[in-house]
Amino acid sequence: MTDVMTTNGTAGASPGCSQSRRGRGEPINWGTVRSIAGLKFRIIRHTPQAIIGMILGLLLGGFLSTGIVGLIIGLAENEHRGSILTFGGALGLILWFLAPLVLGGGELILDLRTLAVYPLNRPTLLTGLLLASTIGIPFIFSLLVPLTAISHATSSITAVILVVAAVQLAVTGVLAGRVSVGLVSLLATTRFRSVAGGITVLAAITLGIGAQIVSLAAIDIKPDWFDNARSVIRLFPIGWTPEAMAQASLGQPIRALLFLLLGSALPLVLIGVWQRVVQRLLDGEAAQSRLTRSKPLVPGWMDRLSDRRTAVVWAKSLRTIRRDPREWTELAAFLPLVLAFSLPTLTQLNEREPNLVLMPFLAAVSGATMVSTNLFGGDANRFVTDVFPGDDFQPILVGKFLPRVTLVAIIVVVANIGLAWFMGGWRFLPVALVLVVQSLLIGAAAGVWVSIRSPIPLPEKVGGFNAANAGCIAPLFQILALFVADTVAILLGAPAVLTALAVSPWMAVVVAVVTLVPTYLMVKRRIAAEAVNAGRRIPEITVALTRRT
Amino acid sequence: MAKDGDAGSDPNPTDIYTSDHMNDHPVRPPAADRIADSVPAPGQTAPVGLPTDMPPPTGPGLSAPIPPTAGWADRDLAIRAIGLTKRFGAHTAVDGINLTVPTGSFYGLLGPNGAGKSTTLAMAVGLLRPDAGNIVVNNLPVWPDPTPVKATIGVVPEDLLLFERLTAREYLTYVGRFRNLNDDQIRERSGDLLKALDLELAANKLIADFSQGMRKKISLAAALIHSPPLLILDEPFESVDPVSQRSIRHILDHLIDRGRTVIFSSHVMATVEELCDSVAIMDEGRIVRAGPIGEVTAGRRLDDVFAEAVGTDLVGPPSLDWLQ
Repeated sequence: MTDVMTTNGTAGASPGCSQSRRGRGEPINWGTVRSIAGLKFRIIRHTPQAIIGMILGLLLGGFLSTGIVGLIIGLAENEHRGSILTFGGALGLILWFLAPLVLGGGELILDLRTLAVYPLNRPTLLTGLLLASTIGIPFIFSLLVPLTAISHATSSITAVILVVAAVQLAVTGVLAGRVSVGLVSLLATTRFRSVAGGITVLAAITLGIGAQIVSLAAIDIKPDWFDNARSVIRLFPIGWTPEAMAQASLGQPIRALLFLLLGSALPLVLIGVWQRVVQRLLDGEAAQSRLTRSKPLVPGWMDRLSDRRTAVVWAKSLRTIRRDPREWTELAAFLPLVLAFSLPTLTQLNEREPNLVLMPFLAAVSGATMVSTNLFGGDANRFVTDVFPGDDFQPILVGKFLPRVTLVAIIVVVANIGLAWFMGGWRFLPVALVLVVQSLLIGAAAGVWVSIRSPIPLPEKVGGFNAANAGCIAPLFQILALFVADTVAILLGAPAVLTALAVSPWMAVVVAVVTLVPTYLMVKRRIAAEAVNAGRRIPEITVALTRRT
Repeated sequence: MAKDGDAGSDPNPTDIYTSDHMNDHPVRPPAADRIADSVPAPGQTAPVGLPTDMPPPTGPGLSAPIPPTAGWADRDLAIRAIGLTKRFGAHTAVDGINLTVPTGSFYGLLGPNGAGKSTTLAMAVGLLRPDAGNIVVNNLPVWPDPTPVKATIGVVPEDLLLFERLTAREYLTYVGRFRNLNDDQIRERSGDLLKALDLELAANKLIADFSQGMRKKISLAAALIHSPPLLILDEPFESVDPVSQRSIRHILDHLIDRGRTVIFSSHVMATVEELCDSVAIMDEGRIVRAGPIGEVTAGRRLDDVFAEAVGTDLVGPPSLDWLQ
């Protein structure tokens, strides 16, 4: 501990060590609390993409919630209702922990650094931020859906417990979201920002896998499974409040109250953690990373490979991707998609299926498209340092998409080899790899097409990994490009796949190469044409990348 | 006020809006009344005055204390920092500095890039926790709880920190609310400030669509809306057009005339020389010169003193023949 002089002239603890005394006994200024919540509402009103997101969330959430509410009400007499409530409640809390990381989180709307300038005492600020967090579709559904469990009430006491538990569950969820985003934001502002990016990616992957497991489980689920799950979940804090609902639903008010009380510990702990996280962010932890220096992540010889501009941009892009968590978080976002495609198929198989070795080209085209749709996103103002009007844009385009597509290629090829080993379809591997190359080319061309027409500035703010600042056109372009690229890859790959299955895998290689050559030439021409187009659109791209959100 | 630092210590500073140079608005209540809205009431916090017998900091890495400059000893202090230190990993950005800013002064903080100016100001306004040392602003210790100090200062930080998705008028409204102003005060003051800073036509535009200069001006408006006794500005004139610079200087001059204190960082010597009555020159995290500008320059040009203080080679860079 560093000794410093306190104002009364005696040696004391360092400034940060007195934090724990802060905020105690300070009154909450409810007018300011309302202003903080109102501020978020006002900002959303001026952010079209946030409004569209809310409308889509309302539609999707409404659709899902209707089914869940129907399920909850329909379970009123089911003997497994308790287990299902415990499982569902705990699942909801896990979603609250993970989803805000993937979707961006509320802190990007109410940036703590901006609020730090004002004389807001900690209780007021925290209450305001918490209230602001309830503005949004997730909280509304998190509150309303569990409330329908009141239909299970066996008495007025259990009805009250169910209502209180539902509210406690929703509040715990909001706090969980704030804590996970806050912790990652804190990590993102220190030398551990790569860890923060890793956590975000893991959250995305976990959600992707989780969604598949749940959907698979729903196909062939046995009620005993929920009973077993409940016996484990209720041992952990995330299961205590849901278990209170389960016990109330089963007509056990005393046990329900006990679990409700236990469950209240989790939001209290989360409030404590959140307070500390917020305080550290307010105290300027963001500045800690200012002078962090990165070690050279790409060996120097890479720069000397060629004096051609493509190589320079290629090496620079690779460095940026590896150093900037925003970049590799965005790149890694395609992994859940690949998992979403492959897991259901693989887990449904009861025996080896060698034909599946032919399929990874679908992951390749999707992955290449996704990672190439925002080639200039991380450049922001730096974009203008790469390009000049009248410049040849092709080396820049190629230099930018090549490292990204290479990363996808490595992952897909490794997966393809693993699949061949696992399924025993080595004979299909050569044609599969040719198809992968062809698909990567198609995906890259589609991605470049989107990159030029709809560049999305990646968030520069502290803790921003996945800010919803893409505008409403960009996702539509991405979906369209994904659809077109997948369709083209399937049409061009079909002859080789059919030949491999019906005639001979070695003949299929010939067929695949025959389609690969014209595909390569077409993609090359397309990229050249897009480069010309990009050269014309430099002002538009610059404006799109430098607009503030 | 005079540049030698002997004036401007009016114990009851009047509001900046009383100036007849600012848009001919009628005279309004004294600033003390308005500031009272935003300054925590006595008893809410524990304002601790800086004892005059505070011993100087000791220990490795701390700068030697700067003795009080003649003429300042009898004045109130807006800022007093003792042994202020901030490290980022192995790099010491601010190295145990002692800084004294008299109330009512127009104070310039100078230094080359990376000298520690912004870090010092961030610690003074409660945006960055120091690793060691102490800083007292408006007779309130900034740390460990900077909230009371934040109520008594206006800040234009380095990164501006604006809510981009608000219009200029909405932004000032929310800032006013965070500063505990009532709706009438907010409406009146925002109108005045938008007019004074030539932002009236942009009042209903999103800040996201503002140029850098306009962003600076709206940030200054937000810093002024609660009529603070101390204004702390990080590079306030950077990216601002000459006409707006003139407006800003005009406003700052009037603040000083009303006994307020302004401290700002800058690279522009001419601006500092023209506006400030006192300066501190920072280099590598330390204050290498400080005091009334007349004493610091001793009849020489400020940029010469600056170059000498930071050890710049006045001969110039090595030959750049390849540029011919």
